[in-house]
Amino acid sequence: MIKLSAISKNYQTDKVQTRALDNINLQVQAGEFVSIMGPSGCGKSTLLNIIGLLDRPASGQIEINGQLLGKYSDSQVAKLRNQTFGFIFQSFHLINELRVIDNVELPLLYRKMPAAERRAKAKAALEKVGLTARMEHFPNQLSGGQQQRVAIARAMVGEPQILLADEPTGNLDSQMGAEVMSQLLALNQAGTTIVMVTHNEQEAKHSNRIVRVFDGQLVQ
Amino acid sequence: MIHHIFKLVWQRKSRHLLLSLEILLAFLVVFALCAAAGRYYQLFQLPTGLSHQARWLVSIEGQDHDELTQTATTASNTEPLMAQYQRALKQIPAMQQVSFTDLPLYDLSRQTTLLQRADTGQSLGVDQISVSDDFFAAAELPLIAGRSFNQTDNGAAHQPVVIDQRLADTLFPGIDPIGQLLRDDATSSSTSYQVIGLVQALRTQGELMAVAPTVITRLSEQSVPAILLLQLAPGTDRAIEQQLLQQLKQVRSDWRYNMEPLTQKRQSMLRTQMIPLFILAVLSAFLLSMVAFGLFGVLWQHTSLRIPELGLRRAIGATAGNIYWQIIAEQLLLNLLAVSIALVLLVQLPLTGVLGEHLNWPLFLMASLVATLIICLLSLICALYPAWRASRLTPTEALHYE
Repeated sequence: MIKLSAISKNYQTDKVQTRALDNINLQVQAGEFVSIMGPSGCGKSTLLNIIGLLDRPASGQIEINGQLLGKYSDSQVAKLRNQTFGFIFQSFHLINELRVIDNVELPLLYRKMPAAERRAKAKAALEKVGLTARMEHFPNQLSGGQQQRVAIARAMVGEPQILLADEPTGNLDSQMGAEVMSQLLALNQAGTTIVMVTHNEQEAKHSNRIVRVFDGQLVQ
Repeated sequence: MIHHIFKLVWQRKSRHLLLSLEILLAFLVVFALCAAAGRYYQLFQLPTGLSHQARWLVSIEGQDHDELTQTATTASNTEPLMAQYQRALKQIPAMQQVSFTDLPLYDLSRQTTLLQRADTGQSLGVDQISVSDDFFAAAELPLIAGRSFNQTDNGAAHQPVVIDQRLADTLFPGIDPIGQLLRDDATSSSTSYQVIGLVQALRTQGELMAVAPTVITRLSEQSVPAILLLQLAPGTDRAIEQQLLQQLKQVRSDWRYNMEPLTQKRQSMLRTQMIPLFILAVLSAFLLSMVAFGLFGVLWQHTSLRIPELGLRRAIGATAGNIYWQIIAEQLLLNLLAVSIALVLLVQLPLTGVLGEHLNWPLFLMASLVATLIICLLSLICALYPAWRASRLTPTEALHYE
C-alpha cells in the first residue's frame, strides 16, 4: 500500500544543512498498524509527513497503492491527501471558530459533495467517536481527549484508506490517551491502515509492527 | 464553500471589527468623492443657457451716478449710456451683438429674491438677473415658450419677466406660465411682474452651478450699465481687446473696463468650482493609501496567525490555489459586509431626500457601485501578496509555523 524507496530529506537553515532522513526504505501493507518510534529530532515526524505527502523528499521514490508519485502536480497530491489519507496531529489542529460538526466536515469541503451529504457523513463520524452530543459545541468547550476524538472523526469522515497519527496522545493524560488509542484500534480492526508516531512504548505495543528511527535512518 | 467562508468571517467578526471599520470609513470617503464627481458630471450635462464661444464680458468699474453728466465724453450726454455704448461698439466690424446685464457671468456672484405667485400667494426664493433686450441673442439663450424683451414692454403695467423651466414647474405646475403674474415678495415695494417668456435654464455661474429657479427681469434702458456681454464674429482674436477699449473709452474715458473672453472666464470658473472636488480627491487618495497600508498590515498579520489552520487545510486536501482563493474570497466578503453596513447608512440620504437632487437615486446607485468597486479592488490588491505567501508554504511548514 505504501512503499518508500531510498528516501532522503535535508533541511537547510541559513548555512547549516541537516539531514533529517537518510536512505529510508519502508513498506506498509494494507490493514497494518505501524508505530514509528525514536528519540526527539530523529526524523520520525518528517518520515510521517513524507508518507502523508505533506512534504516532498530530497530524493527517493514514494508509491501509494502502486502509483509512483514523483511527478504528481499540487492538485493531484492534494486529491490524494484528501481521499487516501486521514491525519491526526498531536495538537489536534481544530479550528476554534468553527463548531465541532463544521470541523469534522472540513475534508469534505474539498470534494464535490452536496452540503446535506457532508453533514450526514460528519454526523456519522462523530457518532463513531461518541461525540454526537457535542457537535454544536466549539472545540474550546471540549476536553483534550474530546478534541482529539473530534480530530479522529475529521480524519475518518472521508473514509480514507490510511490514517497517519503524529503522537496522537502526546497532549493527553493517560486516561484520555487510552480512549484515543482504543478509537484507533477500533478503526484498524475495521480495516484502516494506521501509521502512528509515538514515544509511548505501551501504545506502540498495540500496533502490528514498530519501526525505529535514529538519526534519520531506520534501525530495524 | 461560500457558506463555509461566510461562517468563518462571521465567527471572526470581533477580530475583524477594526479592519471592517477601516473599510467602512474608506468606503464613505470614496462614496462622497464618487457622488461629488457624479453630481458635477450631471450638472455639466445640463444646459446653462449661455454660449461662451466668441463672447467677451466687459465689467465697468467706477460708475457714480452723481458724476455721470460731468465726465461723459460723448457729444450727446442726454442719450442713455447703454445706447451710447451700443453705438460705439457696433462701429467695430466684428461686433455682432452688444447686450447688458447687472450680474457677471461665469462668476461666483449671485442675486436672489423672493417671488410670490399673485393669485395663490405661493412664495419661492429665486435667482435673479436683469438683462437688456439684446441679451437673449448675445448669449444665444433660446426661448422654449413666449418671447423675450422688446420695445413693446416700455411702460407696460406689469414688468415683463422671463422665467426658467424650474421656476415654472415649481410655481405653475400643470399650467401655462406665459401671462401669469408674480409679485416681489422680498421688498415692501408692490412691483408686479408678468411672465412673457420661458427658457430651459439660465445658470449664470456656468456648467457646475446647481439648477435653481431663475427669473430674468428687463434692464431699463436708462440704467447705468455694469456688465456688457458682447458677441463677436467667430474667429475674432484677442487683438480686438485694444479696439474694444478704445470704443468703450469713447463713451466714458474715466471708467475702468475689465474685459475678458467668456471662454477664458468659463475655464477659470470651472477651475474654481473644481477645487473642492480636487481637495476631496487628494484627501481620498491620501486616506486610501493609508487604508491600503493598514489593510495590508492587518491582512498580513491575520494570515500569519492563520498559517497553522491553512496548513491543516492543505493536509486535508486543499490545493495551494484553494488557499489563495480562500483568503481573497474572505477578504472580499469582509469587504462586502463593511460596504453593506455603509450602504444601509448612506441609503438614508436619498430615502429622506435630505440632500435633494445633490444625491438623487441614479447618482446614489452610480456612486455606490463605483465606490464598492474601488474598495473591492483596493482590498483585492492588499490581499494578493499575503494570500500568495500563505499558499506557497508547504503543509509541513504551515502546520509547524509559529
